[in-house]
Amino acid sequence: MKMTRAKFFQWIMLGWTDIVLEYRRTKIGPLWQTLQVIVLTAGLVVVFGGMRRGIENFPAYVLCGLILWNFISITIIGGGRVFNHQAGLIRDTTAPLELYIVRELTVFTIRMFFQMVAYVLAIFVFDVTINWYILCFIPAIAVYIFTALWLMPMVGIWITRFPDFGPFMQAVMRFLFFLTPVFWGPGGNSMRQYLYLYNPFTHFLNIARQPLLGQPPDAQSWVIVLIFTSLGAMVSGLLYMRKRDFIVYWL
Amino acid sequence: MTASIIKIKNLSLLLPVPRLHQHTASKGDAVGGRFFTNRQGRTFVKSLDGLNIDIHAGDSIGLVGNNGAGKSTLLRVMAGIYRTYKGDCEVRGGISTLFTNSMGLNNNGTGMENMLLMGRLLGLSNKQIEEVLPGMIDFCELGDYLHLPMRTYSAGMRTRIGFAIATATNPDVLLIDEVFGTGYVAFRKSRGAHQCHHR
Repeated sequence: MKMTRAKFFQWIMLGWTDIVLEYRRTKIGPLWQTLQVIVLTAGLVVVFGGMRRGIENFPAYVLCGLILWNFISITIIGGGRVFNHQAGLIRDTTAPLELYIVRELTVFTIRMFFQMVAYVLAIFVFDVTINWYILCFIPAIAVYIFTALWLMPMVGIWITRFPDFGPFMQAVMRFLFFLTPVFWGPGGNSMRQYLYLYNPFTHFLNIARQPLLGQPPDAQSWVIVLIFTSLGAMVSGLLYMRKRDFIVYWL
Repeated sequence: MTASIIKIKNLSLLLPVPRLHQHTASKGDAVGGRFFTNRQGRTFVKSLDGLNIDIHAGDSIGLVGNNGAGKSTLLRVMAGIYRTYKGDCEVRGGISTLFTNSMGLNNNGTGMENMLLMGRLLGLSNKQIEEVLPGMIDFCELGDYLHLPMRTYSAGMRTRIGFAIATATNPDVLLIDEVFGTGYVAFRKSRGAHQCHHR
């Protein structure tokens, strides 16, 4: 099937329709995404407020961390389910597999943008520093989307082929939520320092969270993220080329 | 004599059976394809074996066979969904499939929204959808029901939406699998497409 820009746009529209239909019967629709992230932030700030040492504007720090973590986590867990989720269509229509990746990634991205509404509110409520560094958020999100584009088919192939990976990844992601500085920062004991530096998710959070909080970009984090995502894209590309024709048999 | 629109030469397909590494010998009278274990110890079902078919434009073909004979499998090969076959399978022109009557339709969406959704999924541009939409509305004869959510539809009404979608692109090849009964009337109305179906 020939890939055109118009076709790609249609795939994104499919994701948008999914959001519309998902919230069809609710009153405030996707603003539930906004409320959910606010509630979780409030809970974390109340309980873990003691861990704020050295972090300026702790509520905004946690909120941005959560919004970004939610995206990372859903692209891994939800991305892993993408082929099973769309199994009926994959088995019964001629649409290419890439369509389903783009469609679900669009859903995840729109959800993140609705969660960003909470960030916009936080700017006023918690007086977040805004400066030109915020422009760095745009390439950071581009990197997030690019990473999701290779991560989703890769995890999707694993989970479709080996269904045990599904619950396994859920457990891992829940564990990583605590191991990643979503609601804590560097410093403290040496183990926390170690986790902070050697966890690739730390650097993914850094590149997108720092500009939102008015901080300059961290060159080290950018380098690590770019190397990680380029290598991952290559591995995923090779895996996908070899296994894509078999996915339909594993559904 | 018209040119062949589907040409299948010496087609064989082994369907992998994941997580079954032990060869179980099926008895001679069991339905379905024979089991087969390769040298790496992976088990497959030999679902198509040395198939030759030549179908010309304008033909209507019905596939008849026992359960597990490979009818649906053959349709999926023709549609390009199963691609790991050996041999040749050449299909000229646009293909449309109608394999189930649920087909990823969203129950919260209206019939109209689902027609748009599936149009996009099948690769139509907004302009193309606009062009075929009146024909689809006409075809399914659902009238005001098109503005109700699909969860209120009966099985037959769902099938009508499915048919409207499958025939909307005016495909050269229409592959139909097991959607008869309620859809039969609608099926008879579809014209101009080459049809390959089985009951």
